[in-house]
Amino acid sequence: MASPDSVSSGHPEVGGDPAAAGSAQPLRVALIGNPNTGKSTLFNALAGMRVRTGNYPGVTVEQKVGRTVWLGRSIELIDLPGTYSLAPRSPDEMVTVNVLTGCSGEVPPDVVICICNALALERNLFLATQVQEIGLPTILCLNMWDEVERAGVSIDVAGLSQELGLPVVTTSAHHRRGLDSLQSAVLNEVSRDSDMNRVRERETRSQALLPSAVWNEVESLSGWLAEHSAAEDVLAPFLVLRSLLDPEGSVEQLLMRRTSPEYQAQLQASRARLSRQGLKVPAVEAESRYAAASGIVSRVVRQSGKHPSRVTDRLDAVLTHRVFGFLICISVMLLIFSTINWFSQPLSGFIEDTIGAVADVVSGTMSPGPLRGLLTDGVIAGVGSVLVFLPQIALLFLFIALLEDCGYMARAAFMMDRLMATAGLSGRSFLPLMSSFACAVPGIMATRVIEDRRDRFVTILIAPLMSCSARLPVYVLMTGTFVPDRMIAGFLPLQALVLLLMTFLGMFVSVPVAFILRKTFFRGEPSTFLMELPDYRWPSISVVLHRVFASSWSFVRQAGTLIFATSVLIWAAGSIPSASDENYKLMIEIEQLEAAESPDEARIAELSDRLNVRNAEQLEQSLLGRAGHWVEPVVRPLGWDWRIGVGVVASFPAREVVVATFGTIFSLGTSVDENDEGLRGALRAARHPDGSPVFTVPVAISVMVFFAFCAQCVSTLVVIRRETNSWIWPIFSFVYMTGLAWLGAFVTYQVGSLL
Amino acid sequence: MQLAELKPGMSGVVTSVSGSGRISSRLMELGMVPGAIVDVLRKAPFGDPVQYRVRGALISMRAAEAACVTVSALAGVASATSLVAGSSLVAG
Ligand SMILES: Nc1nc2c(ncn2[C@@H]2O[C@H](COP(=O)(O)OP(=O)(O)OP(=O)(O)O)[C@@H](O)[C@H]2O)c(=O)[nH]1
Repeated sequence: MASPDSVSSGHPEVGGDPAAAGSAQPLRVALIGNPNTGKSTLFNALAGMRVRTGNYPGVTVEQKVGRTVWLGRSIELIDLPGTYSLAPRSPDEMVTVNVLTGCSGEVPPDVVICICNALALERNLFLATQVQEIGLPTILCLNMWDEVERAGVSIDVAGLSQELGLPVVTTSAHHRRGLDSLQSAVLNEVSRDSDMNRVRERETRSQALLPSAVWNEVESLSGWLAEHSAAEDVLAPFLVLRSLLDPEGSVEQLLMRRTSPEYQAQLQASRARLSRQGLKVPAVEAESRYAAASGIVSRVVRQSGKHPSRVTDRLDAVLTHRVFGFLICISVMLLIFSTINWFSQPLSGFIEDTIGAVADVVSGTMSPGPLRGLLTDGVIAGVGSVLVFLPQIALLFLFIALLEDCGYMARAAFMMDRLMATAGLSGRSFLPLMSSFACAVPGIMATRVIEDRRDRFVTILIAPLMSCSARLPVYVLMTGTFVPDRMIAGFLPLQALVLLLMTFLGMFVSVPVAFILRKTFFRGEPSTFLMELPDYRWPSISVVLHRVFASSWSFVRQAGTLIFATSVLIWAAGSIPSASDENYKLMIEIEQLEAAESPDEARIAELSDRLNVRNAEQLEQSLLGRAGHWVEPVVRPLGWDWRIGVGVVASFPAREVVVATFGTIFSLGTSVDENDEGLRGALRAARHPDGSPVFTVPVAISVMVFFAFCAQCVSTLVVIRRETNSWIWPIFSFVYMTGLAWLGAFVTYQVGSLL
Repeated sequence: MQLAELKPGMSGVVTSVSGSGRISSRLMELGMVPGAIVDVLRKAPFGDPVQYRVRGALISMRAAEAACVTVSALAGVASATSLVAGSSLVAG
């Protein structure tokens, strides 16, 4: 099996009768490897199309399982997160150990494929030898074999297999080469697994690497554990080893929970004994493994000719140059940002128009009534509210996939790191936060590029503070209506200045918010920026497209349904109790007049005005309107009356909805936009019962400040739920942002009224 | 001396990795074990983090992380380290 790159373009589902294969218990094959070794590419090539993604319970780690058939055997292929080692220190990292050892109650896989970057063999053997110690049938897959050939490196595959005692297969995943031999190696390994000699041989092999003193300690610890745990709880030596080698790691904690807290004292005694022999934990592990790896590599790898990383060096000299590199990085980021803004708007506009057209068609076939309202304004509009996000998500992930795949993403993070460190974050947070200026939904999804869990959560929580495009209509309406159109200091337009200030307000406030989150809910070791910068390579179209498709689809399926449901619910809250028959009669009459050969414009206008007035009354009496009245005492200190309250409550699905809601409340209908002079006039003319104006400059600014901070965007909250895999964080976001918004609006109004 | 004291263009041999937390474990997993050669390649635009090469791989670290690593400086530039062959051998 240790043949050089076996040429085959074989599809994984070659041969075999799927029906017969389906009946047997599928063979479970797990895929593990360092980041950037081509693991996802190999998974996609091996798994075919039937891939299920989800989350492991309780953690943010994505679970990817593919079902397929190899040579007649049905296979369940499990993708594990990319990792440099099996030393878990968090529930997220523990997932891998749980799956491989079956200590979460699952059955461990039948075979493990450990995928390596053949050009970084020394480093990759670190993980491979750890995996070997689990004791499962393991296959070493040397990926990027094409690059090995191109680099003029020769690797003695048979020798490597001999040294490790593992089958070794070479692949070029992105060319789908070597997949056949990998598949037969897996099946071969299974058929031979009943051979006791092999099992024993595997065991002695894998124990040869670490000093025998370590294994002696494992043995005595196992003895102690056996005495102190329930009879049926037999612990794999691998887990005991991990608990010994990773002080304060997740396995240590797991074993303490399973047996007793005294286990820690046992571990400390073991570590002290090792230390007296000059074997310091945890250093002993890395030293032994790297010593062994260097030895193996020096025996099996021969290098001639120059190395591909020279290309990376030359590119890095420019792309991460202190001045040019930075300028290039800024330009790339701005280019991405403006491209998303330019292209997604017409695309979203197109989707909105299409949805509108569908709604019109449906309207045309039905007469006005509650059912038509539900279908057009509830259901169809709800679908629209999900689909409008797709262009932005697809575009952003197109760029992310391109940048990640060619190796630039890590460099951009490297250059932006210092900047983000001022907020206690790392360079990886830059792109997600920048995208949030267009829209927080793709921005929050983009936090998947952040490996550190705490960094990722803090970024998710502050992302909605970045001023998204949905806030602009609110700002434009308020500024255009109430901020005087004059110059400051002779040349600075006041309105533009206010708009600019509002746009960056959230960003400024996000810095202390991030700081506080870091000191409270996400305390612990400071965020790190210890990471590998992968070699530059050409992005692979199929990897990129796959990523774009997968993220768009996961949004529609996992977030879309909830966003849709909420949109329908909010529509219902604004429509129940339902409008009186009088409203529908008016609508029917208007539609009949409009359909006439020569429409009586004056009559239509008169009826429309009456309808708008009635709709305003209907909204006031609806659940939503009552909620507006109900919140009035709370919003009074902000200088608002119930009408602004309704606007804010109604904008829960999305901030820009407030404009249309004001249109309804002020009897202008829903088809107004932020530049509508009628709406602006109505807002200026709005009066409290005592005759004083509803909107003053301080009120208008307090409304803007509120919208700068508030979480009135159901889609954002749903995506936070999806990305954090918990309801706690969307609720937390809503509460803290609404609190911040109220406080900001309160201070603005009170201070503004004093001036 | 500390790794962070090496200037871009310089190289060193790791003599020890201190601390027992996540950072030092991670450093060792990535190959920063005593005897490994580290080349300092370049600093980020704002001076931190710094790009290093160890065992043929490019690694970026903040000054705070590099502080865990002590090295002894190698004379001259030793960036001809090979990627695949054991780079704990002194590069020529
Ligand atoms: N030359 C070459 N490139 C490959 C090969 N396999 C994958 N790649 C490329 O390597 C890069 C990384 O591939 P991924 O599949 O994303 O790697 P991964 O291990 O899943 O990385 P993470 O997602 O970071 O864990 C992509 O640009 C692939 O196109 C291969 O056999 N040869």
